[in-house]
Amino acid sequence: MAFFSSADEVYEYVGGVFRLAADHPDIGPKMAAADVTLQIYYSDPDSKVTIHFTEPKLTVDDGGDDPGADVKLFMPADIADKYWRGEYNLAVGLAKGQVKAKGPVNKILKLVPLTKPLFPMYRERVADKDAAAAV
Amino acid sequence: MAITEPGTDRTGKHAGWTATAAILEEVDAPLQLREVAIDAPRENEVLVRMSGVGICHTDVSAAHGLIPLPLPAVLGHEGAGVVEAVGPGVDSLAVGDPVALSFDHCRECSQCSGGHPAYCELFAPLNYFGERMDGSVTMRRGEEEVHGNWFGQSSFATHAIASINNAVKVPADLPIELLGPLGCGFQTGAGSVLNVLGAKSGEGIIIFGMGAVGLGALMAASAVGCDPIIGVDLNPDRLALATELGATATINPKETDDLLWRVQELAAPGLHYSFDAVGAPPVIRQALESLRSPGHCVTVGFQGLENEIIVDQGHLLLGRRLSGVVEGDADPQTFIPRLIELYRDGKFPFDRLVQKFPFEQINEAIAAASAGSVVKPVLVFD
Repeated sequence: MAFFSSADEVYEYVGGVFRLAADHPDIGPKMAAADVTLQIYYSDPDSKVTIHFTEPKLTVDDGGDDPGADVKLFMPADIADKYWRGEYNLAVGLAKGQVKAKGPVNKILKLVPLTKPLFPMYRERVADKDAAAAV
Repeated sequence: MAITEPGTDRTGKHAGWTATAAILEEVDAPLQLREVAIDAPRENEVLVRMSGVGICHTDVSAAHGLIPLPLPAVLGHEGAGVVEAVGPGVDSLAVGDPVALSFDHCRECSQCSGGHPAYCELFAPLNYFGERMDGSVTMRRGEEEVHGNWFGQSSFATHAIASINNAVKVPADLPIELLGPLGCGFQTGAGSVLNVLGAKSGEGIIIFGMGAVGLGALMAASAVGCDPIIGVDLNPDRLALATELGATATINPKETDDLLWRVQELAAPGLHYSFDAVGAPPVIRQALESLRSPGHCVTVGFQGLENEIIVDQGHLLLGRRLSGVVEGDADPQTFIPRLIELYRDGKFPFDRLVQKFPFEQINEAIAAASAGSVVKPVLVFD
């Protein structure tokens, strides 16, 4: 069973963690300096998010669909959940084709180390949902 | 640079070993020698006490931020040394074995099992991101993670964790401190000629870029009896060295108005093979257009993960091929021993290209490599 029950949950938790990054005093400016637009398409549930890693501040467009984005990723939303918990190696996912990509993915992989401090924040945000699922 | 025995820290956790590592703190910054804690070797891993490590263009590219390696990190991927400890399940290597280290690979995927580990399905995550596949790191500085798994080794350090896949046992009678570059730079050049092009006696080759990789290709071409062998470089000293190592002719592009015409003068109607160790788009095109029909051009030069080129498809149509190659499409477990045999036979004198530097002079060694004053700097350890 998929972890997220609806696109709105994807936007709340996954879109939400990108918004946490945007507001983070250390991570936000570094991500905004990347000057790249990322379009992510999720399945189970179908949903999509556009992230503009551009100055002055990273912005997140829940439900956005930018066909001209620099980099496009496609993955099951469960992979996004595992990634933000710190349990998924994105480079391995790309290598194995579990995450499909188009464009200069190295620009996104450069941002991966910046996301590590966000993992505990994400786990905290989904803790209630985990507890509900465990009942 | 002393190594300490594994022990327990005051919190009761395994404290591991310590070593001195050259840490890249930020892009374009000089490397800093600092003490780090090294993880105990895990399943199929070995701890290697480094004797020598070559400096490769890919290390310099990573230091300039051209590869998405998380920082802080420890570079170095042409290490050679002696096995100091082995992890669980290791039976192909033992403490005291001399080893040369190469790129990491899984030895399980279809590419690895098909004899092409340089194209391992997991090549990128195993080599470029400085972490094990489970996201753990092999080096720490206090609580901070240091990405110490670059190319499955991070050998700009007195000690490094490698694995049974990329640690190749080598004969004990050889100068171990010199053997590391056989695992990347020389393997890339020689492997491209021997494994990919399959060059044979009497066939002609032109080689662009007389650095360690290009000269590795040249020595391999000479070893199998290629003729002619044309070396191309802007540096007259490198061209002189190429001649000593077997080039039958050399071209300095600064001294000719029309390089391709000069190629025709030397080897009409063109060469069977061409090899590009530069990666600059105009050079790749020249390498292609130096070919006869049919012919095969290999490009190995790295100029960044995005590097567009324009080629003349009409020229390519007539049986000419352009191949991108990494690591010479070699299996280091068999290819490094092959290069060592060529070395013993006097056909692959790579040691002539090496200049030793003390580990402490790592930044000076990198500067010497970047300036072109040294072909292959090798850092040696006390």
